[in-house]
Amino acid sequence: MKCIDDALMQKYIDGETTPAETGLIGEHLGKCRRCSQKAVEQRRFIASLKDALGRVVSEDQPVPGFPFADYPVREKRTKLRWILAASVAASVAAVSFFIYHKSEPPAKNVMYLYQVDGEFDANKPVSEQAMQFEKVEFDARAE
Amino acid sequence: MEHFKDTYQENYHRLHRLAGKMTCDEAAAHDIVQDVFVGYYHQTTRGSTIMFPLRWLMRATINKCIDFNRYRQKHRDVEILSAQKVEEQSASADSELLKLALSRLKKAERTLLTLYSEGYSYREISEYTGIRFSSVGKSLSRALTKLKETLKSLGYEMY
Repeated sequence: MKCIDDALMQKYIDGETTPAETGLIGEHLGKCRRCSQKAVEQRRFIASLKDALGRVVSEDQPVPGFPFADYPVREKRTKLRWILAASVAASVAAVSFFIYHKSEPPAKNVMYLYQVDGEFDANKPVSEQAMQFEKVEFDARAE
Repeated sequence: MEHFKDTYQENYHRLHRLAGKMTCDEAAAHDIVQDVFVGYYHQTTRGSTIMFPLRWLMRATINKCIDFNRYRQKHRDVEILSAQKVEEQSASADSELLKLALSRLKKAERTLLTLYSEGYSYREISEYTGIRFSSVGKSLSRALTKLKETLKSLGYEMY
């Protein structure tokens, strides 16, 4: 087995390795002097770190009472917030509705088709021709 | 309400110790824990259910401590520009050196080390910090190495 890397060593020290890993590492530590030395040092470092960090906070402080009276549930504010949110949403919806309807153009193209009844007299103006008009509307966007 | 009181009594010490180690400031730790419980109280009395109260409390405490540290760092920098140097010279006591070294770690590393020093298992640490369970060992050993090096550069021998 190769020498143990730091992460695995850490896991081993904290007892977080699987039983199979623990067995292998234990076996290796028995043989490899450097690794067993490292394990001892790491253990010592962690113990002293925990000790030093433990001294940062003082022990055995009584649990202070929780000041319930100072923190009433503020239901009113919640309601107000909802009303505000709803009114904002409604106004946004109204404004966007108007903008949408204003900007929408009458997007229709109109075309007049004509049919001549009988003969087409070229000497007469168009208004006196005997013809029928048909108005065709189609969607400008469809094209 | 009874439920809240029980939770408060059960978890106060745990959170206070955690906050104390995170901030190295007892008074601030007290404020932070109180703040966390006020938040918890509001959450529960407003009708929203918290599925895992302990996890919620731990995470809230950790986040508040990180915020506090950031705030303190910012304001200290404004006060004295060479604060770090002054601190280095004045920090002769071992605990002061340790605090200084801790404050030089990244916030995730500091959180990790604090939780670890409190004796939580890897499973719990991964739950509270959001680090993947499989990479807790690796992150932890890196953070420890970094702390060791920082301490060495400050001239502090742990043992």
